[in-house]
Amino acid sequence: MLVSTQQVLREEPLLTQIAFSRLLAWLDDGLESHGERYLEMRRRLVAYFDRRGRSNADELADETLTRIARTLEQDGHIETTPPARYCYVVARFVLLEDFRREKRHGRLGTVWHIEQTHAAAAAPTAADREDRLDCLDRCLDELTADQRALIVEYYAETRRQGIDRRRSLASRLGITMNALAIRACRIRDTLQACIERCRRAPKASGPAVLSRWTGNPR
Amino acid sequence: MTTESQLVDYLLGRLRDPEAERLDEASLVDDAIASRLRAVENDLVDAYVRGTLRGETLARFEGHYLSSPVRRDNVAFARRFARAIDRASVATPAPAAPFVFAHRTMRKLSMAAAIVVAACSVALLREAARPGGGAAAGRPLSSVGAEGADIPRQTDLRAVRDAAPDGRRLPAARIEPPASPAAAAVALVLLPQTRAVGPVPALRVPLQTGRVTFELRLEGGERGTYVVALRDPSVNRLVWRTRATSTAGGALTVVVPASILRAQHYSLDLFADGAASDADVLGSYVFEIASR
Repeated sequence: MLVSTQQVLREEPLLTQIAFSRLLAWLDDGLESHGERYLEMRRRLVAYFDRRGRSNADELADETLTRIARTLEQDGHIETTPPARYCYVVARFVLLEDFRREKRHGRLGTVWHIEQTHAAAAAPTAADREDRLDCLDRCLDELTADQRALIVEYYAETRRQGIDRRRSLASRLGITMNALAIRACRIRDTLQACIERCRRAPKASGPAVLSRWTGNPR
Repeated sequence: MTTESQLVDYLLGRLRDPEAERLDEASLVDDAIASRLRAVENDLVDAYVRGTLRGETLARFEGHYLSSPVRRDNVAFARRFARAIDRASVATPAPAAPFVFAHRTMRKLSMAAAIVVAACSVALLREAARPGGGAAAGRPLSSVGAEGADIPRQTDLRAVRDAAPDGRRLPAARIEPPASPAAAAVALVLLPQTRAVGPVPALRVPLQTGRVTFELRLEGGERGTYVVALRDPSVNRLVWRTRATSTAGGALTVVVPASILRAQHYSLDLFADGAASDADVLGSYVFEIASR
């Protein structure tokens, strides 16, 4: 019987609470991040699998973290440091296995991929657009005035004058250009993540999610 | 040391395997590289949605980067984000320069802008007056100026959404009517919107005018097929739209019936052909009808 990658991954049992707690603590590596480190690593893993052409990047990122959590649950610790390096090692195995799986079950994998591509290419409905606008509205509302001012100035122009303005902004804030870029990216990422969560979650939960990860309680 | 150019090449799939694998690892393990990569990716996507990518980079972006649904989502978000940022940045005045400098500079710029606009408009009218042209031979341009008129203010990003409680869908009615060759016409050339808060182009439209021709210059001479809609900011609604129109010479020519224009501010909003919602605006060209 042929099975798709999706089905193979879904057969794995769910993580226990203990395993997930250990995973969060291990990723924090001694510094309490309230789950931010987990979200950041998951985002990096999704981007990694996506850049390697995997259409199921989300699933593979979860699979990577699940394997690490199980190891932590069984062994209590992982020698390799820093944690991100171990994540990369496991991610490579997961990637190779997915390549092999695709080769073995290529026909169904292809069908699945085509279905996904079509689904992704389908034009969003008016309701989708409304949801996105509502979520953008609510998530923007969660930003502080300083955060809004920063991203407006940082992203307003991307060409030469934009670079000069970014330099001037960094100077005014007393931080390096690199630190400014990280700050701006973080706000943008949290905004984007907030919108995604808002779209998936019941209507009232978007802002609460953003507050949690931006550290700006209302 | 990884350069920004290498990061762009990595994102566009232009690096050879050993170098790509090094960055694969660094993108997960090295916080500094991961942050820089994210910043570079955001700038790359922003450049795409703002239409400033060119040549092989644009081709690679469309051929490689956009092949993934995850990355297409990034682009979709960047489009909405850029629109919100642009509206908010227009509402945020730039730091004020000394008055004398600002006054003299603005006067010179206004005069220069008026000359350029007038010259372009005359050329546009001549073009429109040719047999088969989009607009009939018009009367001389009645008035094209750049007297100061403020772009409607918005206080912050929140206001971008507050300002659009309804009228999000592109109006189906009031599609561009056939031009009447006998009617008088005036014309105005509008340049791509920039962050700078400058004078809004103003146009005086005599009562006998049948239609007003606008030439919308697209940033970087972008080509394609678009729909242009007229937004009345006093009610924040799209009140009129064109059919799908193709660019010519990096510009779109839009003929608006003068009868629907009153003495107030308007914007001509640019949409991709097939856009279903007015949330997908690609650019706005603000102008003022000075009098009727």
